[in-house]
Amino acid sequence: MTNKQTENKIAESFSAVKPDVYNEVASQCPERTAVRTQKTTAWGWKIATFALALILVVAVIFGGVTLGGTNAIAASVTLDVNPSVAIRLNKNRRVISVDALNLDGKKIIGNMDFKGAQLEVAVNALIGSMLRSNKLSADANSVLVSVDANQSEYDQLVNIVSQEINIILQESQIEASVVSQWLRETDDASALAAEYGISVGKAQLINKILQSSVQGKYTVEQLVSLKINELNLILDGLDVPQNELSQSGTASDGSYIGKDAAIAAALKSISDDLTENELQRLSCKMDFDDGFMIYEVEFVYNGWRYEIEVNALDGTIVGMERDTDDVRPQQSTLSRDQIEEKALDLADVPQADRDSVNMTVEVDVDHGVTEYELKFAYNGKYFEMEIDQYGIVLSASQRDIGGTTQSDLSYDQIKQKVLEAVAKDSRFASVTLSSAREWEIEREYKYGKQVYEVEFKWNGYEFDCVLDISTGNVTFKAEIDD
Amino acid sequence: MSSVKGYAKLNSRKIDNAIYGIAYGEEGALRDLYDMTDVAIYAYALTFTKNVYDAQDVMQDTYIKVYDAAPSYVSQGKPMSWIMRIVKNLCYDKLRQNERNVNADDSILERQLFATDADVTDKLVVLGCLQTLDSDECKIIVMHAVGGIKHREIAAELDIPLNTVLSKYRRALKKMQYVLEGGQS
Repeated sequence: MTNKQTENKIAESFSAVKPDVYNEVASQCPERTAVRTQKTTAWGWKIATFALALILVVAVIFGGVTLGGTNAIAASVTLDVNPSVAIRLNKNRRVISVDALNLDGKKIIGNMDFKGAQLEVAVNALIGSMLRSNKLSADANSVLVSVDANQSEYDQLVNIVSQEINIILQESQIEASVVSQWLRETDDASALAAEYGISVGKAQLINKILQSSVQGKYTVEQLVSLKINELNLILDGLDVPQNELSQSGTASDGSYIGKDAAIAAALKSISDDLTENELQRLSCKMDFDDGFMIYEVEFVYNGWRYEIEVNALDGTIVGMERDTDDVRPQQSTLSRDQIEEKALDLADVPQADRDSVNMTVEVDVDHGVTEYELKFAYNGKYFEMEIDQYGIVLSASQRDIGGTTQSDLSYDQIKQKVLEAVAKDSRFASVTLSSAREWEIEREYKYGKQVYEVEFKWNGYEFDCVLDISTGNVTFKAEIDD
Repeated sequence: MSSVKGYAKLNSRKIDNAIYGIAYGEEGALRDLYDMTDVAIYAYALTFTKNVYDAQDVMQDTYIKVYDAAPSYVSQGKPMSWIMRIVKNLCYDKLRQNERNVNADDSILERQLFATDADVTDKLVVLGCLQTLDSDECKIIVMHAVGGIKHREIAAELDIPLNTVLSKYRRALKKMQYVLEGGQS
């Protein structure tokens, strides 16, 4: 029975025994009228539009607001770093007001009064204030500019603001990175902004990152907690459509160890003397994984394609994957011998030594494709590989076997060693290979040692044994098998 | 036999839509959610309570909790993990109320399960899962094979390393294959 069939059977069996409590549930969950605010019904829009129209008419009549005049908001520009501020503009690009969108934004604005000022002047003062309070620095050089305006105005406003930001940061010898986007107050972004107390611009950027990345890779909570510079670093590794947002400059990774150090750490994890010259297709990009900023270092070395994740703060290796750097060949099926040869090739085992390698092979069928799981030790290393019937290496790993360079033990040798140890206990003196049954042998790396975990049953007892490969010591416990 | 909504058939987006539908008062949303998730919820509850009636109570309470929480639900793309967390908390409440630990008398579970109308093989498979596997193995296999939850999410939920989840999962599958091939229950 394949793994998939087993999984399906388990699901099917639980389904067969489950009770039906729907009626009880439904009786306690009365249908409710809509209580979420994200969706607005057609009627809701009509009422809202009517109310807005009424307000505008009243405003015009009483002269408080002149439609299209200097007090009407024609556009707004939101600047997000971590402080978030929104600049409301009239049709002449003069400031009507500057509003703080979070507490940091309030501190940045302070007592400054921008009413009537040119957009450039307001941006200059606000970005200057962020620099002085160290919210912008050489290590955090990213600004998100979200513009709410008609399309023709959008391009010009982005140009003006980006230029101004670049000029001010250059004065402090900082190269700015500006991410700009056209703000569309969608229900999704507005709800996200309200829920987490962030600007709609940042919410829209987070939504774009979520949409452009593999589903489930990031969570909203994780991204909300990041500053714009960190989001910008993540954006570098994503393929966000250019019409959705534009980036200029490069986000600074000055708070982290840097790409060179990340590459060096990745290479060192493979071999102390490996150099970049020996690699092909080297790439290094920043990413965020499980709450950490990481560098994802990828390269091809010695026929293997490596993906190594390096903690961006301290250079520790947090993940490594290795795969063969080949494309799926013609669909010709290899024999088991050929598969074993392929595994030995990958492990660089010379022809002369191949006969002495003791290999265990398990065969499984997944979606109609035969998969071989091969395990063997050679020259002080233990190899585990999964290769399918077409010769595609699905996974491969190798690790040092502490202190020993001897060949792996065969299953019979393992059983024999374990039985010898067990038989020393007078209760189990008569145990023999032929009378013991239901063997399970797994190789594990535990407590800093390579061990075999061995289970078997004999004469009403169930044995759990550990065979230390380097010392040959066996420990075991026996329980009554009920 | 009712249709199986097990391994990899649970679609996060559809479950999210059903939860939002419940929040908006959409007709049929609760039914949709129930039909997609009942097996996984019941199975997961059983792994804690080891008692058919307690698991049934938890199942019922889970839907009521989801109904109550739906208006403030924010999707993170992993609705089953969210639901399973509700199940787990309700199970702990239940076990505390009953002052009964998870190692309750297995024979009660056997009697309760055998009183259901299901096919005897299915009863044996469920018993095998609940009694042959250790507690973590059982939860992992139910979450993945029945709940369609990714190993990575399971590792986060159970707070154990991903590699441990994977090896426990493989071991559990092997044991269940043995049960299914008539070895034991």
